[in-house]
Amino acid sequence: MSAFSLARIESPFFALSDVERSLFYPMEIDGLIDLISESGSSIEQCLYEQDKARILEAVSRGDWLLVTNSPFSPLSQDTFGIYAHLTGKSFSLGTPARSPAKLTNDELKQGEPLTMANIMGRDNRKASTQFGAGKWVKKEIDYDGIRNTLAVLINRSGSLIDEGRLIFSDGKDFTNTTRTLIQEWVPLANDELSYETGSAMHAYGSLRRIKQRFQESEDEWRETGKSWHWVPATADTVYERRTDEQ
Amino acid sequence: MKVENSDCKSVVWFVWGGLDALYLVWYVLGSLRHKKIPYLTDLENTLALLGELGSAQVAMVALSWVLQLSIFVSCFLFLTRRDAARWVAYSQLPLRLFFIVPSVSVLLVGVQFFPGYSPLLMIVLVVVSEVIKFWSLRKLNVRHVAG
Repeated sequence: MSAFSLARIESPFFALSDVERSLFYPMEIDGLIDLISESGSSIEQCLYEQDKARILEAVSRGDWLLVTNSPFSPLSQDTFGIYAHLTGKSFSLGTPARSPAKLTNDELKQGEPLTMANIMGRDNRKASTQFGAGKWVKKEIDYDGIRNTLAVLINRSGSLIDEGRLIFSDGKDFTNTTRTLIQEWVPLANDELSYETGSAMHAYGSLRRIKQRFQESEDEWRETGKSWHWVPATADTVYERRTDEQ
Repeated sequence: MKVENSDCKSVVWFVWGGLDALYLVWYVLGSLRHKKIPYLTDLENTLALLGELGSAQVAMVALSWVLQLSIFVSCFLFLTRRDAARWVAYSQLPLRLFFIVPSVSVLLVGVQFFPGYSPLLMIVLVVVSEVIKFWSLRKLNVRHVAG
């Protein structure tokens, strides 16, 4: 296991797009199959939205890092300390090739750093203020404008037969349009501190992207049992519970 | 020449106005048949969806309603033989092509009887119908100036 310079590790923000693209060709990046597997998915299923969201979240959190010879934004240039919880120490990662690297307990012993327990255990005020309990809140919604326009027009060409209704008066006119819900990990509010003990831990300011598709799906609140909404349905504010691993 | 042209224009204006009227009546009857209040129920349903849409789709929705309102206007102007009908029809043309709302509204009525219709064929027919409309309005305009 060799140590890697921060200059060879892509920032999680930019690693996200590389990993997302490579999910079409998982062999392209060494270790990506391990990441897929650990996220509870498989090569066949990793492109499903929920699976993909889990995989990318692991990258976004910095649980897995992308090692490459030519990073676009290496962690060594993290001058604002956005990834202070990752850059605080040197560490050992993966193989010399371009590969996402998992921080395992063994690596922590050798290279010293990077789990929550490790960081919190140190008297490192900077790290502790950057990383902690919180909640995911809606930051932005990115609609795929051009693609959605095409989807709507294709839907329209198939709905000419609908009698007595105008275009865009039914959810099915927007079937298969997509958007990306971007949520940010922020500290809990004062009246939410009771959730702190059970809360997951992430770096404050870290983002997660959830790709959603507009579909008619189950809705127990409706008499028909179905409604048109964005799938996977995600609340604007999500309190993520801590898992055993964390 | 002017008399002939005027007669021709009357016929063409009546045909396009009549087809607009057919579109409106067909929609209203279909809507009532489904126990809906024409326009109002659809507007309600559309407004309920707006919150889920991005700005590009909201713009499309707004344009589709502009088209619906303009069909009322063009129907009135054509049937009352106003020259302004031509300009309303010209401005409708891109929206009709975009939203696949043919001026030859018998196409929309006819497609109800062919559930397995080919969307591609419909698009071609809509394009042809709009070309014919543009040509007929343009031709009358040129003749009128020449006469």
